[in-house]
Amino acid sequence: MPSRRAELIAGALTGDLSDHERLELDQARAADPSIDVELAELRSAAARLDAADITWREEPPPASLAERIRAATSEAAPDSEDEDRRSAS
Amino acid sequence: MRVDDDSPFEVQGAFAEHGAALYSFALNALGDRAEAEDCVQEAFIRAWRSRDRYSTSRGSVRTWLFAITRNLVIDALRARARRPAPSDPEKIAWASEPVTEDLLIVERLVLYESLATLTYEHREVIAAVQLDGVGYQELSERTGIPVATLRTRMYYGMRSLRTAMGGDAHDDGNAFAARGAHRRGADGRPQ
Repeated sequence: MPSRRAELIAGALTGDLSDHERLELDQARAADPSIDVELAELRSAAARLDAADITWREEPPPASLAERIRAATSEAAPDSEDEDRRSAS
Repeated sequence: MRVDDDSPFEVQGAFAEHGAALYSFALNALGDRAEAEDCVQEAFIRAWRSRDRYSTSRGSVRTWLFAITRNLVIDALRARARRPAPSDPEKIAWASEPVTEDLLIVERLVLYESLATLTYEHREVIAAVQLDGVGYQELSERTGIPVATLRTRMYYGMRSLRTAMGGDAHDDGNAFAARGAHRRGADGRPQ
């Protein structure tokens, strides 16, 4: 079952499998060698994240940003239209 | 509303679709809200001014906007590196180091941009488990999302991230794929 395969690979990726799941993964790997290939690829990606030592800050853009952009592109309209025409000629 | 097809570039639609991802990238790369806002605002202004010269044959709107934003982020980091010291303690220390000369900084920009292109659900689990070291069980208790779902999100999220970090299509991945063409013009096009 694809989602179970995904679950087991994700668990193995972070060393988070129970003994029973580890056995289940071993059986799945024996039947499907592509699991080992994929696990190696994802481990490589995870290693890059780890080596870069980064954190992630999840914040939406402030509501005012859309308005600032709208205002700036509206105000800039006449000048930039002229500029485009000049550079095109 | 999708603006990636053959429709002309339209600022508000493009911001609604891509603004959050661009802001996330700029915020994490710069570690400063005001600078991130300025970069994203300037990116949309530049895109808008160059809209007549934009062609979908060159890539999607998303790819184009990320290219412009990336250049602005790099310029902001370079400008910061020329200043004696960051005045804002929120600004992350690495961002005041020399920029493209430092491979680690380039790698971090690649990763921040790649993470920014993921869906929120994928990024949430990757950030918690891979970056912050939170276990699936703990994350499940925090979010109310079953462990099995979190693992499945991790799997698909890491697959997308891998593509984004090294693939060649931004819609499935990330504009930093074109690392060979690192330096682009102010409007994001290769020089």
